[in-house]
Amino acid sequence: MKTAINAGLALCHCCHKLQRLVKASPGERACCIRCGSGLHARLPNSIMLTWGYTLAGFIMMIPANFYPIMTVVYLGRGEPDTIMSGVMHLAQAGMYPIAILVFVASIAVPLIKLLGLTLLLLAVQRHWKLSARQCTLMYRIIEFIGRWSMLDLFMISVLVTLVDLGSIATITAGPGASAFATVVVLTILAALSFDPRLIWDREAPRND
Amino acid sequence: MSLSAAASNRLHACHDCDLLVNLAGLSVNSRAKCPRCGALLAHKKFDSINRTLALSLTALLLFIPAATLPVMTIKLLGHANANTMLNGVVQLLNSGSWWMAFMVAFCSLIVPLLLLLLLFTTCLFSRFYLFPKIQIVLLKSHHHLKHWGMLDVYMLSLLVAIIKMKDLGDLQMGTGLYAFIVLMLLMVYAQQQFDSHECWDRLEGRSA
Ligand SMILES: [Zn+2]
Ligand SMILES: [Zn+2]
Repeated sequence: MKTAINAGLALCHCCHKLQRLVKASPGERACCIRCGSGLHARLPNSIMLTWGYTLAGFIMMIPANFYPIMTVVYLGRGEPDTIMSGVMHLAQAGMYPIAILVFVASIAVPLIKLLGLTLLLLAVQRHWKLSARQCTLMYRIIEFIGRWSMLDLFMISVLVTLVDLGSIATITAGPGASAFATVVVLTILAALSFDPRLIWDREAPRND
Repeated sequence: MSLSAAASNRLHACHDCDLLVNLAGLSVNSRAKCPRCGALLAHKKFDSINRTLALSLTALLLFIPAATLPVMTIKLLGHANANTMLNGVVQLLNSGSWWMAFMVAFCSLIVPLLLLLLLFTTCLFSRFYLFPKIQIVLLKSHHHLKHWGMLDVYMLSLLVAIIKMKDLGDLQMGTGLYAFIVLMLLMVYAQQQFDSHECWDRLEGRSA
């Protein structure tokens, strides 16, 4: 098992060109010979950036879940809904598949993403003996599901314009929706700044 | 350099675990997977550039009806209101949720449009070996933007909105919805057919 970093090679993050990692002069940063992006063996500051985005994501989960995300006013009556109360209303109305879908996209996915990234970060930093293959699988799932959290926000934007019927019915977006949008952005940034190769680096010395 | 150009072209490093893999003799329409972590390392596609060109051009043309024609119309107590993808964003802006309006516009309109334009121009230039400097910029932009295009998520949220609203009033599907469904499918297919590795390799073959 030979890895690129042991061979003194680096894969460009942007164009995936494999090349020798050389600096033009000390103190200067190495650049990709093909696309000119900065060349690094691993994403720079990966752990620190991922921690930052993940913790910020956890913090933003609080306003996203406690402030109302939308208000439905029907014939003059109506009250603001948070993410959770919206899911409850859907379940009470018997729309179980939609209730489950919104619950998964808006609450389960962001939480799983943030908790999963925390686990990966701790596993890398504390050298936990977790299966590298399974950690990589978890990272791929985290990377894949992240964008589906936008579901609720897109739906609100559809409803806000669709149900704009003056005194009969209106739907408006609440501050929770903006907070939730921030959570989604932060979780995507966190997943993008994590370098999965760090998971495998823990095994490298023994394999070589 | 100790590695000859030919040898380093066949040698590839896994982007998920950094293992060096020899990709020599990969035939068209075949996939190469990393033996250590299972990541998809290369997928040579048949006629990728021409197909991406055709798909992205069709999708670009469909963008106009999909974004401007009414997606659906709701009738409630004699009042009717239609929603289009564009006025969904405008409405959010007017109600003061500028951050959410930006996110919705960014992920459902701006990035998909940019991605289609990038796919089209990259493949066009690559097809005829034009403007290598511009191609690098285009390919790099595509790499950074591809995570933020979310037409498929938007599609699902339209579906959820339809199911949620069908009990509230009389809901009619508009032409925009059908245009959007086709656009979404074309977009996913174009992204899947696009092979950035091939474009980079062609670029290199020319400039070397
Ligand atoms: Zn590069
Ligand atoms: Zn691998």
